[in-house]
Amino acid sequence: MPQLYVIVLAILVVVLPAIALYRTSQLKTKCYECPRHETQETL
Amino acid sequence: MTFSERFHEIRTGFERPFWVANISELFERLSYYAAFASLPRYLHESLNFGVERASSLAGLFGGLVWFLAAFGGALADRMGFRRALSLAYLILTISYFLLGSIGSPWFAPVRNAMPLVVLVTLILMLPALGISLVKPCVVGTTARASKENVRSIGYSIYYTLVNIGGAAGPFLAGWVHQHLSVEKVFGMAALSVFAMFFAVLLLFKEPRRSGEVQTESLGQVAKNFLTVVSNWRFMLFLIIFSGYYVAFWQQFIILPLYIHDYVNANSNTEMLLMWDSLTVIALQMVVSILTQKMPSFRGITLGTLISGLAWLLLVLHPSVTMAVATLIVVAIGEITQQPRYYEYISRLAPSGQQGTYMGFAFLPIGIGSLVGGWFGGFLLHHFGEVLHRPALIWWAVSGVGVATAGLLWVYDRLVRRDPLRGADARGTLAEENSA
Repeated sequence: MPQLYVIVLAILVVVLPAIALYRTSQLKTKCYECPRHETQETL
Repeated sequence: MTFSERFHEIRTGFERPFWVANISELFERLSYYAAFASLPRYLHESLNFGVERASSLAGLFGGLVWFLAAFGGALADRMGFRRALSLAYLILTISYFLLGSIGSPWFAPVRNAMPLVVLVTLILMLPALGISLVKPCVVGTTARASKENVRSIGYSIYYTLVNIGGAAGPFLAGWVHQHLSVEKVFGMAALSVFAMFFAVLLLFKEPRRSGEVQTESLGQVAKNFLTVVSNWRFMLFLIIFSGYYVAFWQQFIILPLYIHDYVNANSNTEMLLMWDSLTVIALQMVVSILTQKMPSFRGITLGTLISGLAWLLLVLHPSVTMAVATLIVVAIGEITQQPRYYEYISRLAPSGQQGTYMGFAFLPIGIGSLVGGWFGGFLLHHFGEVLHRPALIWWAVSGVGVATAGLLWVYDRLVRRDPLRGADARGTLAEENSA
């Protein structure tokens, strides 16, 4: 069972931040409420 | 022992005050989490506070109670649990009612008599007085009104009911907000605790005092406070660990605002918040078994790391579904660290000072909420409103969680020095038994 934790941890520590970094440069998040944001897609 | 014998033990092991106090605690938690779940958006959208001010005020609401916990215990012991509980539920009823009434026409004379932020701050401080009285009464009643052979089950029942309240509160808040109005959420919270005021008056009988229970004076509590504060290693640990709760509380402080403003304006942001408690109820046992052989400090660090990294899921895909996934992983980190955290502190305390040290265990939760309120508001304003890059909010929140895990690791290597350290590294038998 400790091995399971190591595998999960490896995914969390390495894979997740790597994909998150990639997505940060790709994502577009719409903002529905704030009028200041409506005209420009953020991220 | 057969199942039916054990069942009989459990059925007969608790006196009526146990059930009254614990069921009242369920409704108290329901009210608290319902109010907390709706609070940031209520402050921002109904009372027109900016996101920074709204987040700071929500952090104050979440944090203050944990600072008063130690003094609430001393006061409850002196007043008697029945009087303390009924007084607490009356205070809570008035607090939630006032909170939901701030924008009402009949409240205009009070509202106009002082700046709105002062009024809201004063009202948000009131629930802490009530809650800090409820907790020691319920825990104390659980100890006094249960037989020795079922007492540990009594505490499990207490924690389960707290989590059921933690899940039911946001669920009901979401329903009331959607079908009635956000103001009515606070009305519902007030009604729930008002019912408990009568329940305590009518059904609660003061539990007997056992010989070992000692009543501490407020002066003694203050003296104990100074004793613990002078233990710099312990204080450093608590300050570092506050980082865990700075990140953790963002689910209540800025997640609802973020989801509403940047993901889906029609999303039910209150109901979303029941996922933490649901996960704790569902997975507490499994995670305890998985981590039972892990040394307690490693469990604390691991749980902190898991909860910290969870926030990156929101960067991966900013959606309501991913917010649920984030909260589930945050909760897995929480149940990995929390039992080990309390275990670590109780073992760290010198003989006879366990109670005082455990009182301090709540300090990071309070600091986390107060600092987290200010911090979350800053992030939402800076990365959301100024830079228009809301995903960076979660990088920052995650950064705090991961940095906390890193600091705990450094603390463990360089600073930590307690009598159990050697044994702790191997995972002691006692530790396994207590897990």
